[in-house]
Amino acid sequence: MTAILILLALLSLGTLASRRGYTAAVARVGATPILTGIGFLFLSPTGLAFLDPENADSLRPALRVGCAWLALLVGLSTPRPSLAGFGGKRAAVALTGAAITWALTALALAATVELSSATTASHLSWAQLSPIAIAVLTGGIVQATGLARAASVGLRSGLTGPIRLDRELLPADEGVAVLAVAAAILLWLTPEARGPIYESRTLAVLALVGFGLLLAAAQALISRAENGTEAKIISLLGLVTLLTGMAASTALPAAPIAFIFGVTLSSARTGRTLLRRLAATERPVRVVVLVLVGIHLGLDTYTVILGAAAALARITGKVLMATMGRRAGLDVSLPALIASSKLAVPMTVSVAITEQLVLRTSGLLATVVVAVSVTDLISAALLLLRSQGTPEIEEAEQT
Amino acid sequence: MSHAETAPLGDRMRSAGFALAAIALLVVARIVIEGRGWKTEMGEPLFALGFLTVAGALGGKLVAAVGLPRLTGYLAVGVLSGPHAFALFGAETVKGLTLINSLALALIALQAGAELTTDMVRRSAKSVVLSTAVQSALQPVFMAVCFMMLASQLEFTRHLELGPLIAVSAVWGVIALSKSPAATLAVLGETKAKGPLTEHVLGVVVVLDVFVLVLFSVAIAVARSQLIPDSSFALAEVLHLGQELFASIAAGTSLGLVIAGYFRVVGRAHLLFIVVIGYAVSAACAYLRYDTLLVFVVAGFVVSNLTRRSAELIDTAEQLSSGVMIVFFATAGAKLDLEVLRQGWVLALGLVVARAAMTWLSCQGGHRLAKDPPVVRRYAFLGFVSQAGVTIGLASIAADALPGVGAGLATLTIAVVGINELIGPILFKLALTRAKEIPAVTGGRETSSVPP
Repeated sequence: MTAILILLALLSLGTLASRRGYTAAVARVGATPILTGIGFLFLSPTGLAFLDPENADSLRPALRVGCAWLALLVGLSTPRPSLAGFGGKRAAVALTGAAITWALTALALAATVELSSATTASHLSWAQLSPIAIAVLTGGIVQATGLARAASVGLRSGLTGPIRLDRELLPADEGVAVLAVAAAILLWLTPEARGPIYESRTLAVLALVGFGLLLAAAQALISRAENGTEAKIISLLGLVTLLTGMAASTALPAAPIAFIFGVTLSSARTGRTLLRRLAATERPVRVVVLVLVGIHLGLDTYTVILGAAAALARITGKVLMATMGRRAGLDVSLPALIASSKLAVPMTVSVAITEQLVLRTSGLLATVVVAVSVTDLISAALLLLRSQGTPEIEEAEQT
Repeated sequence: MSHAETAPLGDRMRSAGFALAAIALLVVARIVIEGRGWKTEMGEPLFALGFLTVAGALGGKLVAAVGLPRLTGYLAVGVLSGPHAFALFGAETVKGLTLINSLALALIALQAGAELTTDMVRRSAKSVVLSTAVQSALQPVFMAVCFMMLASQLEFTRHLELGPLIAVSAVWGVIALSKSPAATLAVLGETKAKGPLTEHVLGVVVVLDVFVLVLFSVAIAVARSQLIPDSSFALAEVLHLGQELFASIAAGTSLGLVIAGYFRVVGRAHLLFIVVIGYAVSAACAYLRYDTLLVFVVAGFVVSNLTRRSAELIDTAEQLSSGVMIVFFATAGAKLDLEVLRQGWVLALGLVVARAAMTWLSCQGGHRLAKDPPVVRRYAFLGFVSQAGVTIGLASIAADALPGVGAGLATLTIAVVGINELIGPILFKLALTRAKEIPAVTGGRETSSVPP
């Protein structure tokens, strides 16, 4: 009961925050550092420890479901028209850009680990996974672009043009995060470190994709059986909870499955109807997830250095991507590309924290949170600078 | 009556087919995971919660297609998927899902209180009070006599002398008097029934729920004094209960004002607020030993009758209920011990029939005194057959409080409740249908066949 009350208190705070200060202040300076910081400072054992370890543990199912829910919403918001027209130059720029950013981020992380191997390696140890593998995985997760959140300032002000074009690059970027998880499973994970499903790595990857598609099929059947949107929402809530349980019991990460589920669902009319109804849940859930993530952060000098290295490599990758885009005649917005994906933190939590290896993976989580926070701050600053005096915004404000 | 029951048969069958296919898909996925040995012990409660939500909702849809209450579908899904049938998840997992109960009971009580308007109370007060009084006076006595007649057949009562046997029989009689406010509210919520029968059943179930607690405390105190050699009947316990009930009413009044104040001042995020209140107040009630159900009923009554926020509260509770009730009843179904039912089904069935007959008999007495309309006289007893969580709660208290006989009494109660839980909602919906109190859906609008 105590855990539920804490969770509800967080959810209430999240709802209040998303209605009051969140949009104006938090979104501009970045929700990730503020909210994870609150969790870290007030609730984590290394902070003021207002939450005892037992209650922190009992909140883990909520964290799992929250991460899967956020991943589902990201998947659901994949713009279908863009995907339909996705090809040629755009595909080349998106995929090459994503691959370059991934490679650069992984390289920067691996190099930083190598340079300070004796001390830093312990912060990135994850079961039997080597620091190099972690670097590749982290790079894949961190590289994705979260245009929607960081560009909210511009979009809310009616900014069009470049940002609208960038939306078409977004799905490829977020797909890379899923690809990174699949790569980590295929290349490095051993059954001893995880669960029986990893005895065949290919099977584990197929299960990851298969579960996502199976749940989409189940939701499609439910949509045919139930006419009411409310009934469909209840079923979707149930399916995400079921998905999280299924993922936990097979030791597969829930967020990639939920993302695939969401992407598949987004191509159906039901998916778009559901997204319209569920979009409002994203912010409160995100607030709760980020605060809970703060509890598990293993934040120290090394993780800050690693996170900063990943962020800088990522920004370099995005600059290259924007340059490629401009050369190909696409009007790409660099500040929007720099912002991290909403998928980054849920994906990391889902991959790392759900496997009961919290203490050993807290460094990984901290690295991703630092990287995301740095890129979000830079992106928000660039967007604000760019939006000042932009005729499109001035017109929108006048309207 | 929902669209599911008014759509053409072909459409209903097609919807049912899709619902079955969706459930089958999830079950097959689970079987494959288990069969291949991929499953670990983690994540079981989340899987069970998700499965019961999805499959329960679809099960409700399936049974609604053949005219049964959705509640029966939720229960059936819980029974079939639970540890005592196909065992898609274990008994420990089901136990972990009971956290939803606090919220479900809070919602049920809030809705019940909010539905009790002063107009309705004025209209049916005489009928409700007389029916409650006659049922409370006659039914426990009748059922205690039935129990005493069966005592020689029961392992746990065979050795009892007359004094303790009468006391234990009285406890059984009071347990038999208890109803299920949850099942009643769920059927009323689904059917949107309105009319004298609805008002009568709702009123009696709510009032009896409080009254049973008092009778049960007295019965348990007497039974303990008979069964435990050095103990005596402690009037102080009953007085203490009276104080707690009084405090519960005061707390409920304050809570009602807080809810109305929030709706008026903040006016947003009603769902979240009610969830927070549901859990927080339930925790406080458990700590202070207040009667949670009474606190929420009074809160609902205060919001509905002393403020102008009745519609908001009912809307919010209904929105939340649709999901919460699925899990609540599906979990209740999963907890149903089929083995206990299998072993003692003859005896349990006998007691179920006896209880139904005694309910009918005692109801008739009340109806005659109150001069109830024919529709109430004919069908009201069918609304009092359901038993569920409250009854099992009483049985588990008896199990702890009565050494030597409590466990057996609880097992017998679970078997009887198992049957009443399954047939009660069906009978109540049948009664509402016969009484023509369920509005028909015509072109998306509901029209009641009962004159205002």
